[in-house]
Amino acid sequence: MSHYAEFVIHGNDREIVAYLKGFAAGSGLERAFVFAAEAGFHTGALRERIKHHGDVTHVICDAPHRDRLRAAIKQAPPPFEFDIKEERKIERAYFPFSFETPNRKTAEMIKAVLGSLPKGVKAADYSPHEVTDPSARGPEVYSPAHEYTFSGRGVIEGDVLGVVETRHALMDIEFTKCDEISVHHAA
Amino acid sequence: MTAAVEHSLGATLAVWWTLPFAGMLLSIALFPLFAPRWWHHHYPKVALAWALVLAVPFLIEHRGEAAHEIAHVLLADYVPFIVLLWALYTVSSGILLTGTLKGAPGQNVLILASGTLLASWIGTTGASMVLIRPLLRAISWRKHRAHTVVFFIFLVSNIGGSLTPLGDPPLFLGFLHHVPFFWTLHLAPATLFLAVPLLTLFYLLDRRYYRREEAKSRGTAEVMGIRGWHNFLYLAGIVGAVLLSGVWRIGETHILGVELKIEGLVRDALLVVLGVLSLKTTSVGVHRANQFSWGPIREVAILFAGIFVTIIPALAILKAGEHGALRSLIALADSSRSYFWLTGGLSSFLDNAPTYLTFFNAALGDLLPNLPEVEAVPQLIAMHHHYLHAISCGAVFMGANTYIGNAPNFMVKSIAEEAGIEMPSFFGYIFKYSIPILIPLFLLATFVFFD
Repeated sequence: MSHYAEFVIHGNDREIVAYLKGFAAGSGLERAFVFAAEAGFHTGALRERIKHHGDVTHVICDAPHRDRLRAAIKQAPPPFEFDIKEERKIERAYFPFSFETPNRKTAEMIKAVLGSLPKGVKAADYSPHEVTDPSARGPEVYSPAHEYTFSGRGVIEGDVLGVVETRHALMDIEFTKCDEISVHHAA
Repeated sequence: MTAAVEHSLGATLAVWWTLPFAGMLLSIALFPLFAPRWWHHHYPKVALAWALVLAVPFLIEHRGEAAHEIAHVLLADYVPFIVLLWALYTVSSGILLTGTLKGAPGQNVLILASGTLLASWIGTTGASMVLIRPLLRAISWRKHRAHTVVFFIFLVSNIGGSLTPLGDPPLFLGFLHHVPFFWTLHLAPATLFLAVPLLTLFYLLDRRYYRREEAKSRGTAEVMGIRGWHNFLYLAGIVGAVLLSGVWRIGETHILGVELKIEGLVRDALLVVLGVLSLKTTSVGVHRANQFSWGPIREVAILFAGIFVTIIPALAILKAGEHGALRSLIALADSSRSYFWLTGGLSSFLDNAPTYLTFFNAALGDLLPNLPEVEAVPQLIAMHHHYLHAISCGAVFMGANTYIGNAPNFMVKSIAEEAGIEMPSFFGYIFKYSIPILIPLFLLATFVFFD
């Protein structure tokens, strides 16, 4: 398995984002890397700031493009002052998710996302429950049970950018809750 | 029963006699939150259990007095209360708003303002039922929708019901206890004081979201219309019947030893006739489109049977004033401001109808002890109207503070969720909306309207 790279970059975070977004647009690498904070990764922000004596930005890049990205960061022209503090290898990413919806359309959207996961991504420990209770149909004032409920929880794990894409798709659907993305670093 | 007997019973009851009432109200508040499916299937048994927990020892201990009190509360309070709610629910279910608005901020304000006005005439539950689905259709394409439903709960499901006894159950209970029908119009300045800033704030908030949302996804409008127009005539009939019972004096009769006013019985009979006429003359299509069923009124009938039975000791103790076991509660309520916040605070978490009745009796017990209610209420209005004003405002307005403050709140939340809107959680509603928006307005209202 080719590993993703996590770059921990010291410098002004807004300048890093602006510079690398410009780089991505100019070199056609928009889909090759993501900013950890934007993509919903758990970065341990305070611990990292203390460890690196200031602001750091985490960028996660796929294996084929990590050398180009590293070079671009190192070659950032003045006035930029970026310093790669760490470069870690990521094996895989994961995040727990859960949902509970009384809306059938939303349920279909959730099923569609979980039924067509990107290559290298799977839903582990996934346990959906679909309950229909005809006696709860219609408006109720004091016992508002829903006629239909689709609920479930699980963990999305696997290929890093696939996990990011899946989290983004789930977060766009109401009634779903996704934890931050955590990563397993390679030894 | 005479005031003296009521007074003596209230003075002898210990505070623990109110525990079944507290249990009943807490069951209504907590089970839908923590065990909704279980509650949906078992609430009649819970209501019956609490009623029996009170009635059995009460009858054993106080025999004839207890039997009379139970018969009195069921015949003089419960039956007229349920008959009115049934008639309003049946007639409002025959009114269908068709078509779709575009969900633009100005139009949403129009729906909220119309609902606020309508709620006083067809009840907060009726207005919520008639208007929530057209509102949800209008905003179906919008990305930010939950705030619209929350403001709907504030205005249509609660605050709007303040102008007549038809608007909100607490006010009808007041009417049954000799508060004149049009007295509630005194609440109009306070209602406007809250409704205008809320509508303005909603407009600004909704406009901000609207401008951020993509123009390409905007919905298209369909011609609006109303089906079941003739139900407005029945609605006028309901208003007339209730008014009639307030001004027409025929006499009294006795059923099971309980004195009942004949004009009240005539009113109830007219309400039943109007409800049946509505059922017979409204098309099946209108009822189907409104998802009409007897479910909601059945819930109200069952749960309020439990409430009305278990509330008996609490009301008797409160009527005993400083001679009763709840003298410390009465001591807390020493100004109209404290009545506003005590009634409102409890109405936020318990059903507002029994809460109103509790503080209504606390005020009578405190300010006019030992007077029969029929004499005490006109004196309360003449000499201490600001107390009744505060109790009424607290009960009606502060039901909006939580999902469990007033019956339609949960109904609206549930319908919105089934339409695909993720509503705030119980605490999300309180911390994101009630505390920052409603509480400051209520504080301002306290200084403007009460002393």
